[in-house]
Amino acid sequence: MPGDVGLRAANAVEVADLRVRYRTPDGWFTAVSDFSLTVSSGQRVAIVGESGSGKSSVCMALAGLLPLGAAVEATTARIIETDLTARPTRAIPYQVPGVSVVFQNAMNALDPVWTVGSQLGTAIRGRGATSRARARVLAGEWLERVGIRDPARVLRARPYELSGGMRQRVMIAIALCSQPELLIADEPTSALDVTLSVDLLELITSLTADLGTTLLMITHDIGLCRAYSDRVVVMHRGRVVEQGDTEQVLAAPSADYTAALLACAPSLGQLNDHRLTTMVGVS
Amino acid sequence: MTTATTPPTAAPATRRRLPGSASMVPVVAPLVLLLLVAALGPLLAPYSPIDVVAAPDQPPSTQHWFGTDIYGLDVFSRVIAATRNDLVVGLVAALLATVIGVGVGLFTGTNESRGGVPGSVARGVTRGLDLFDALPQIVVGLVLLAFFGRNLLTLSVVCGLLMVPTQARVVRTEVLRVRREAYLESARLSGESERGLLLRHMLPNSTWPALENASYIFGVAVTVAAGLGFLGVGLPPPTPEWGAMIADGATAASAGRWWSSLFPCLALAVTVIAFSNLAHQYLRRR
Amino acid sequence: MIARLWRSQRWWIQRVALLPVHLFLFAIAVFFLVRLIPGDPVLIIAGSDDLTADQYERIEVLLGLSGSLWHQLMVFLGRVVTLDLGRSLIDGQDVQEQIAWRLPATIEIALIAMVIAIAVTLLLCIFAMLHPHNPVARFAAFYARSAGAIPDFVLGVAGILVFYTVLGWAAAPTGRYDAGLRPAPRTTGFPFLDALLSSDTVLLSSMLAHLWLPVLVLVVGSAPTIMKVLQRSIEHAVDDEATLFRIASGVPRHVVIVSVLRRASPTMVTMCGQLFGFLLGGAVIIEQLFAIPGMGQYAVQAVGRADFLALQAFLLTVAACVLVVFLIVDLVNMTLDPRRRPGVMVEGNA
Repeated sequence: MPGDVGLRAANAVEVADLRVRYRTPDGWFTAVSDFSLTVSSGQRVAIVGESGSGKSSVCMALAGLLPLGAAVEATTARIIETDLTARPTRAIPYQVPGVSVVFQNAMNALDPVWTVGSQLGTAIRGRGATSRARARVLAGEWLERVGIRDPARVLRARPYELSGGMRQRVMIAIALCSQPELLIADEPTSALDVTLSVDLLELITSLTADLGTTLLMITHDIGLCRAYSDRVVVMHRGRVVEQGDTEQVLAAPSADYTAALLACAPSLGQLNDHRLTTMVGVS
Repeated sequence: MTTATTPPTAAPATRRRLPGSASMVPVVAPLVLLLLVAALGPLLAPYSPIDVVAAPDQPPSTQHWFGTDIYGLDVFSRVIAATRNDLVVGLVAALLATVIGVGVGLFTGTNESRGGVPGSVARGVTRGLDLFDALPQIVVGLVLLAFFGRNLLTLSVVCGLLMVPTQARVVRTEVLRVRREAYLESARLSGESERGLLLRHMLPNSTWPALENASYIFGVAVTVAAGLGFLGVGLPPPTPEWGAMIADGATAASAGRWWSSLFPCLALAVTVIAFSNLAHQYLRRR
Repeated sequence: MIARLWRSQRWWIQRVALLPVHLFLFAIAVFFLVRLIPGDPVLIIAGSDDLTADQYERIEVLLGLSGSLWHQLMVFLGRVVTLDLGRSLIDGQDVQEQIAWRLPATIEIALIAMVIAIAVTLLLCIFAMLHPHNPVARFAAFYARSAGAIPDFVLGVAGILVFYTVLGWAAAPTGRYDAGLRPAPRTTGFPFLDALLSSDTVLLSSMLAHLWLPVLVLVVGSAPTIMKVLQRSIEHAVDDEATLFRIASGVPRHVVIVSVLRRASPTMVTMCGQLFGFLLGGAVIIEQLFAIPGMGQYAVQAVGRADFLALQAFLLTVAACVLVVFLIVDLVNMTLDPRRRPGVMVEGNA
């Protein structure tokens, strides 16, 4: 609820010198190093980079969802109220309280054998405050809120019976129904076509604004940032190349890599047909 | 499927790189030993494996290294002699299963997606093999041996037939996988007939897994044969066979006379482990 | 209304209808198999060489071996349908009578072993999922990998040696219960169940003492088959995005675990079909080793007597059991995971 915004901590995310490493048969592989980020409550931040830049590892690390073979180290890593460095790693991760995640492909993220109603209902009931009947009503309301016109039918359906766009909306509903303080969206529209992507991003940004939820969006499309984020962080090979207010960074990038990304990436933001520029390896 | 958390994998090792000679010694040595024992059998046995030579139930001694069993036969000589029988069963079964399995696997793999008669036949064969595989091998083996005779040849053939579904399935999977690649290739290349591509690339690629699997099949076949021998439905007594020897020694074992069961057990274990180790080493090198 | 009922229930009705088809096909295969045996089938099945022409003809008709091949096939299939498995010409007993009292006994042991194996597998795998570095979990992984390494009969002999000869914890391997005790009255046909129902505690305790070792041997020998499959399935399911999304959506822990298990179980359930086949084969060996009267003993005796009629019936019966188990396995899987039902359209990539 909009009134609550003022009661939340000033900074949703405070991370300094984050390092994420994975154990491989050939030793440790460093996916992310020297990552620092501060996000104030209610802000929208985009993390941009190409595949292999480490942006997804950051996202999973901040959500506390890394597997056992991963090591997370940092000088500071506070997400909402949780200190990531003090958390024990478990075989099956625990949720970082107050953090929700939206993934790229709802077909993989949603549980294939349970109905939408069951998955949404358990997410709403959470740790058990709401009754089943009340949760069912709320589930219907949430589906309408994400733009699904026939909530009764969708509640009874299973994910594979729905279209791609509807599945993505269901996923957003499940992620936001617990009213998290932070929503991490890992390439939420990369698997969708243009029109669906725009609709979905509008939905995400408006819902998070309504709830006062901080939004951390991972994407490889730098053009999206212009419309949908306040701050942008550019990553390359596990390191932060540049970060700052979106307007400033996109208008006058200080790093060569950022400029190259802007020039070569076709995106929603650019509607002219440039010829694609080839990127030479920039370190 | 890749998630954000999957770390990048190291570059894949080259396929089918033959292993270096040094590390193969501990794998090959027991096999060579077994084959030598099987080949030289009668020459190595101090006593006759089928004649009574001493008092029954003697513990191991300098005269009888493995002791004597409940009939008074020398256990050591029988274990040595049984090596030949059990190894022959394993080898013939593995060979038969592989040859037939490769043929059936190639047929079903290439024809399953076609329409008409070949398609239905291929799909029917696959289903039939799955159901055949579901039946307990001991049961089928028992009945087949009873019907067709209890001798070394039928035992080997029956064990081989029991293993055909496994090999056929391995080859079929590989064929289905290679076909997808082959189509991509032929789409890129021009002027290369699909049939030529399939024959030249698919055949050798698809049969390799079956050959690697053959040593594992060997182990399973010997175990099944030993099981049949244990039940007393395998080779007729007093033919030496490890399973039958274990059965003979079972009642003695429950009375504390462990030697007539233990040594054939060990021989069986060494054989199966040696051959499945071979499969392991091959698979690890891929 | 009927049409809608049919559409929603079609999946299991279709699958159940396949069972008699499979049975029939298998019966036909057995029919031709017996025809392949070298020699004159009449003489072989009758078990003797000198018969008068009259006797020969009579036996021929009795065995359904007279007339054209087609006629023989029809007679054979007709008899299979009416469960008329013939009267053994070797020992004069009705085959189906023998099977009727022996089959439940063997199935009972196989089922008990299967239930215990599944329970042990689930417990160990769930524990290993939550505490992967615990020594118990590591042992479970090692044990699962060793699937099939040690044959049932070796485990059995070793078991008797350790638990009876050396430790004296198990009863002598001389049958289902102590000699001198009378069996329980036949209510269900399953010996252990009947003993439970009759509340004959002496008989029951004797049965337990005699049966725990053979069942243990069966469980230890066969559990790796499903444990290996379930472990791998759970590993994949835990890493799946669906698990991560569930966790991030703030549901209680047990919901996450149930979600993982339900996604991981279909492969294990399929394996249970194979497991039952494995256990039936194992039961044959265990019955021999522990002198328990059942189908296994019947088959081994039939081989000794060259009683082909009995063996034919034995093969058909075992196949029928396995096919029924496969039906149950398929139905369970289709209930657990609705995408496996025939006629379900799954859009996109799963």
